[in-house]
Amino acid sequence: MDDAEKWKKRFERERKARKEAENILELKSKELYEVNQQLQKTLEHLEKRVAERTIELSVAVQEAQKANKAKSAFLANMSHEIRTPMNAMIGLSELCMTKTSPSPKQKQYLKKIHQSAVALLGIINDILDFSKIEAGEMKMERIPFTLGQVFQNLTNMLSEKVRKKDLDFIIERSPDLNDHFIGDPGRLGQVLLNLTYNAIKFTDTGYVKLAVTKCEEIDGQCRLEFAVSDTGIGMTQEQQKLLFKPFSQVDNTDTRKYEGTGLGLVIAKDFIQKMNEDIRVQSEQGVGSTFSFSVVLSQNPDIEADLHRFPQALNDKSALLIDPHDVSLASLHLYLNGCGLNVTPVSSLCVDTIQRMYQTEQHDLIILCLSDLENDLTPDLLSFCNQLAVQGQARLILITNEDTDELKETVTPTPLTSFIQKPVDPSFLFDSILEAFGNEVLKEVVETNFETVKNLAVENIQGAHILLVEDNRINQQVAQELLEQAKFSVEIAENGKEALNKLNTDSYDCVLMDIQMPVMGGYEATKLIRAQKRFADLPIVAMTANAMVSDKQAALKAGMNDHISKPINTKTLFQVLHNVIPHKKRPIPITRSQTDDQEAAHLPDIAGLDVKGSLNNLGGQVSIYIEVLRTFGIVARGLHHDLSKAIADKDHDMTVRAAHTLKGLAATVGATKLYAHTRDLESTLKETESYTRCDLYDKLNRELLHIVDQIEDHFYEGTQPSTITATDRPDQTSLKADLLILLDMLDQYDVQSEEQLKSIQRMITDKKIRQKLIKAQESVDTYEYEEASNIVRKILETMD
Amino acid sequence: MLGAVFTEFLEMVEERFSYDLADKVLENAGLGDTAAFTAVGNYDHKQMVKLVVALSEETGTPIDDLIKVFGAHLFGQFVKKYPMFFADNGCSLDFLEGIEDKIHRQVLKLYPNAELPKFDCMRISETQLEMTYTSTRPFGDLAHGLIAGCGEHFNEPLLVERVDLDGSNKVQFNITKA
Repeated sequence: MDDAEKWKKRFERERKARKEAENILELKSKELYEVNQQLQKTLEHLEKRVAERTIELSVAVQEAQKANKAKSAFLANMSHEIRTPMNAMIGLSELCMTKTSPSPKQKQYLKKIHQSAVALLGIINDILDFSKIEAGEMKMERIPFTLGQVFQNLTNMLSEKVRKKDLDFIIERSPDLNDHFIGDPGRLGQVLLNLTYNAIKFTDTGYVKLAVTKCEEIDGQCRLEFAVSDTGIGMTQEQQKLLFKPFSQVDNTDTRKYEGTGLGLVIAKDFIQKMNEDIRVQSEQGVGSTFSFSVVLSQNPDIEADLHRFPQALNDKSALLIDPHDVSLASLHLYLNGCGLNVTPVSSLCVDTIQRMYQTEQHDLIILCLSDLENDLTPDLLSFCNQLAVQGQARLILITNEDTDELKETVTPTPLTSFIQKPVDPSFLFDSILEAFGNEVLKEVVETNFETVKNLAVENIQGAHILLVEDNRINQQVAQELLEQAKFSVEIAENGKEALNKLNTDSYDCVLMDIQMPVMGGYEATKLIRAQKRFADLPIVAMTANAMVSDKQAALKAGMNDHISKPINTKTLFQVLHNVIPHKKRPIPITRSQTDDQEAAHLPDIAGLDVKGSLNNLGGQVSIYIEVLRTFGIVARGLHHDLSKAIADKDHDMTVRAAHTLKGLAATVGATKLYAHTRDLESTLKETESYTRCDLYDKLNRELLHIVDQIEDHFYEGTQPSTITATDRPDQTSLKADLLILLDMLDQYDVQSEEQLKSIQRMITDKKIRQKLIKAQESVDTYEYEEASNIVRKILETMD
Repeated sequence: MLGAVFTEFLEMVEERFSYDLADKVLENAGLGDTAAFTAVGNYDHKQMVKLVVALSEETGTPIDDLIKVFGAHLFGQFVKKYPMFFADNGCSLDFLEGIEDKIHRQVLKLYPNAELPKFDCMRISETQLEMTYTSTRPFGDLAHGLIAGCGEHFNEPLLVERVDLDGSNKVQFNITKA
């Protein structure tokens, strides 16, 4: 092979290799292209899907927003729908308790209805609050309030719960703490309720303590530190992390043991954060937890500082504070000492110890805290303390978990005895101590404390003529009674149209306007009123069951001055009225409320009774005076019996005791003559050991029977026509028939027997029978049907 | 211009004439000592013009004819190299009509930067096609040759009437199947 041939061959080889390489390259290029193409396709597909999803998402968002709006509207609506009947329940149960005279049992039921209604309202508010927080609509209020009121609400709502769990609930406050602040009492109360409620929920033994102290005070601003501590189950670090998450509960494994919405702490935290603070938690499993936070509140500049200091009059008084629980003993001791009361604390319930202590220093006041009435030591101690009060030797304040009404059956109610139900707000105890020490002291305090609060809201606007526009009869009654009690004169219009008519014929200082009414609603009526120039400045306040902030805005937009949400909070109502009604002196109207009329009719005109004077002492509260008088009528007869017997038996101690008790009671009801006689008797008894019946006793006896007879006549004959004609007089046969029916009912423990008994009482004119029926009545009141049945049987025997 | 056109051209010279003539043409074209082409490259079309001119000078054949002949040769080579493009059943006119859609699209996949001429087609009838060549390069003749090569491949003698619309840059071919 020649060279040329070789080279050509090599060249061909190279060329072939080149072409092969080119082919491979093209192939790879094509593959690359195709993969690229695939990628491109995938990318396009993805982009398309993203675009589709974006559209879907925006549609979903729109739908969610729509749904959320619908939810808000539904909530507002629901709040309206629920709050209206709630208003009725809360208002009417309150009226029922204060304006009617329910039996102790009925009163208890009413109280429970009231408490449940308030609790339910709390849950509704919780849900509303949470949705408002979610929507970022939560607004904080700035209104005047007192810490005492916040604590009072708190204890009202918690006492039942505490009692059931047999816990000690202690409220601790430093005496240097002012009571009047400006802020959001509802929210503060809600946070405290939440924390204390949780503490109670997770504590089975020991105590729950709510403590408030003043940290600092600058320019009328006060930083208060609140701490809720308990001796409950506590939490681990991990559990603490879950605390403030919505709808989550620390104990998820056992939710049935500790139920709840899981919203409370979230709401509480949000409120506190709204006030630029935070809730702190300290907890140890098995030991207990402490939740604390501080808030800055403005002091109410309209009210002078009302630090808890006992008046001069109490400087030389001393008190014995008995509490078996060391924590609450220490807490109350510290507080009362801080208020300037000379207090000796004792944690023993042993009656001998107490007796010794009492004998060494004759204490003027005994404060007895009993959480466990079942304790073996309790009955002796209770009877010793009771004795001291009955004998007038010391004032007694009983602080117990038990319902005060129930306790009154075991402890003699005397003017020197007062009852406080746990949990006790120290400031409430403060007031009770003042009251225990009588009228002079009370007067001194009333002027500086009580009246300022009352007057702040009402003094300058009392007598104002108010047009209440409201279609719901029940709400009409609630609002009218509240207003008339505070000495406003009230006119009612059923709807907006009627309101316009009334405005044309009469002049008013203020219009309280419901929003949703038939014929013409509140907004429309307001617009029409405002359209008339002469009503440009007429204060109009919306009164609706809607609690949303937007409702307030709508009310203002319609030309109203302010907005109150139902159920009506008396303080808020008066605060708002105080803000909108021009201040000036107005004649105080004669109250036209039915119940007041009835009560006024019940006011007896009895010779020997200084009704006016003792009414004054009771703050002008007719209903309370009537209650006191009624009780006096019942108790006095017994005391009279004791006194006569003691004198006949020549039991000197007993005679002194009975006379002393009678003296106290006589003073309270304003039986001036009787008081003078018993006082004289008491001092005579002190001088001589051997007292025998004399003129003084006869005078006392006559006066006492005279008054008691009159009281009985008044209460049990008041409803009867004053002149009874012969035909009206029930004949013996029908009376006997009625009594037999009553007897039958009593034997069957029929609750209706009370009604039957009352209707018989109205017919009876015979004094002796009437008195026996009163005894029967008392037995029925306390459900002692057998006792009542015996009495009725005896009456029937005498008639035969 | 695609490198394949250059490599096919030189191979045609080598086959139809000789390796020596190919060397001479390359030398005379004045492309420099190291002028070399690969099918997957991309080169300035002016170099192709120079190569054709050089070949014409060496052989004494007119440039137009040379290019036309090359066009026909090139078509044959394409058929060999890319048989898949010719797999479809159809006549020569169908094929010509589909160049733009089928072949150029595939070419662009491999050589995204290729500047391909445009072939606007209008099918007058079953046997008649009006095809307009437009390019930035004056290779109307090459197109002419390719059309002829197409006819040969399909074994269908084509009558091509040529109208130059803008020199050799835009040429209208009225093609009729005989």
